[in-house]
Amino acid sequence: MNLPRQVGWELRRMFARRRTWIGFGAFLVLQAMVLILLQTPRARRSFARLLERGGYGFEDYYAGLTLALVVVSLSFFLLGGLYLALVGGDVVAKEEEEGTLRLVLARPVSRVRVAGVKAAACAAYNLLLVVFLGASSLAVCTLRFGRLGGLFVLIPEEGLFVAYDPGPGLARYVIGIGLMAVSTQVITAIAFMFSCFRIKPAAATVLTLSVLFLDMVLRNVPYFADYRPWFITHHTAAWIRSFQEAPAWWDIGRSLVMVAAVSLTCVAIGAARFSTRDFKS
Amino acid sequence: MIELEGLHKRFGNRIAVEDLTLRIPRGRLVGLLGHNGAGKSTALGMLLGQVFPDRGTARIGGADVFADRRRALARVGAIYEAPAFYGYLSGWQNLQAFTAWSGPVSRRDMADAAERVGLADRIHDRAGAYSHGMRQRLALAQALLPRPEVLILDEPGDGLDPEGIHEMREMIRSLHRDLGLTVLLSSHLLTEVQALCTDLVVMRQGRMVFQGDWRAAGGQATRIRLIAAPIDRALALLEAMDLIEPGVGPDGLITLRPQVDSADLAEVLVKDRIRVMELHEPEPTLESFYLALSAEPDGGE
Repeated sequence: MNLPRQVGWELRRMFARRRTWIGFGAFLVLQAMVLILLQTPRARRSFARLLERGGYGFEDYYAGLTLALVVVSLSFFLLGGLYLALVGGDVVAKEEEEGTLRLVLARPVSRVRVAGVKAAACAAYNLLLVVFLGASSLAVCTLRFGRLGGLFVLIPEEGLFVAYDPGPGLARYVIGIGLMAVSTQVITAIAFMFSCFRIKPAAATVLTLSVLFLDMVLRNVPYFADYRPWFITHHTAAWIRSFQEAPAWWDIGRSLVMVAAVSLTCVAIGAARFSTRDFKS
Repeated sequence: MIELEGLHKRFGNRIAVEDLTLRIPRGRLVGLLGHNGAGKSTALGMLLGQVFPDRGTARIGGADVFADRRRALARVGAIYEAPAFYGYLSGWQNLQAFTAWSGPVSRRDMADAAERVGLADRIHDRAGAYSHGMRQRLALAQALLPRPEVLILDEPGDGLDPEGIHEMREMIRSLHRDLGLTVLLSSHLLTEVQALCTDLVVMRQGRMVFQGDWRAAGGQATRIRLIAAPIDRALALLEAMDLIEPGVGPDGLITLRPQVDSADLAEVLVKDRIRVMELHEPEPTLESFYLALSAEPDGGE
């Protein structure tokens, strides 16, 4: 019965920090910057060329939805992963470093519960951040152009070259952001796991980013093309595949199961370590 | 109320706590003394389930701290090592955040705890702006929620100014007296422990070397202050007659042989026409007791 209250307080603490709001503000600034860059003459020409090659009208698709998708992808790639790794890396290690964990662990609550609550708070934060990114990108881009427009998606490495009318495009966008919120959970889960070890918060963040970066680099090495499903970043990109005209939902579902399995494994390892180690300065 | 049985903890090659067995009955106020690195914090850490022992058991109210942590700590309020708070939250929000881990606490109880530790007028200020003394008070307030039966306080007076130490002492005393709490407090401030506790646990290099009422501890030799002229002849005479131990302690006191009292000394000195200006048995202090204990090769076991 206490669980919602405990998760609620963890989230409340996260959002009471000034740096959380600075982070969210940084995303808005980044989104605005990306949007400005996407409106340079050269970028516009490039968009126009691509759209015309597919027989689509520039004015119909160079608008809110299309640019929101580009903005959200770029801003998550540039800052989102780092930010989630920071939050997950801090969740235990920072509390241990600052000493507040000692007072938490002096209370009659099991360590598994404490770890579980913190992992759940990270997951909720991850979800909120991605939803915020998706919503704010769409809001900023739609306000800028004054219309939603159609959704045009071009991702050659995924074989994606599709366009949707505004209604279906918006539905695809919402589904895509939802899947992104789920598939990126693995980032906070890995960071949480490292955070549960006797480690500095920054080290937990760096380790998480290193693991993901290495995974992404290896996944893109041509020699390993046949082994892509073994790399976690292949599965975190499942949300992108939802933009295909006829999405392979089975394949997307399998990726989400993989993400869930890896995330739960990381949380379980972290919770096990958290439950069995000494906490003493 | 508190039972430690054969607790043993090693960090690498260093033995932090060695076979610690201890029983503290309900309602007692016990001081845990020891030099830095004596194992006090490790012992409290094991008692609070924050440090896992290599062997041994820790029980509070009959519940095993490691096997049944929730029940064991259900009636425990604690400050373990230097208390730290979420500086971006108010004192009140900190109390809410910490008590969220242990179950609902009414606003009335929270207000009472803040009032009891003298933080009522600043409880809604940001904890980051609190002084060290205020953080200690807030730590005590969170330890009082929700209504503990046992208080475990690790160096509660650490870093406080004399006024703060006095206030903290009075708070602990009143909690013990008014609420009937069992209190175990560790400290290296001897005057504090002396003012608060009669029951002591003394640790030295990981081992418990004393437990009990230090004022009633048997086997402690009588030590007196002697001012006489000529002092050298007085000391030589008393030593020659085997009435005192050889030498004068660093605190200027001499130690009487067993069965000897100060009247025997006075009689001998006066008979020998030595002028006695002062022959006084000072009230035993915890400091002298502790130093005497520390000076013994096995710590007085």
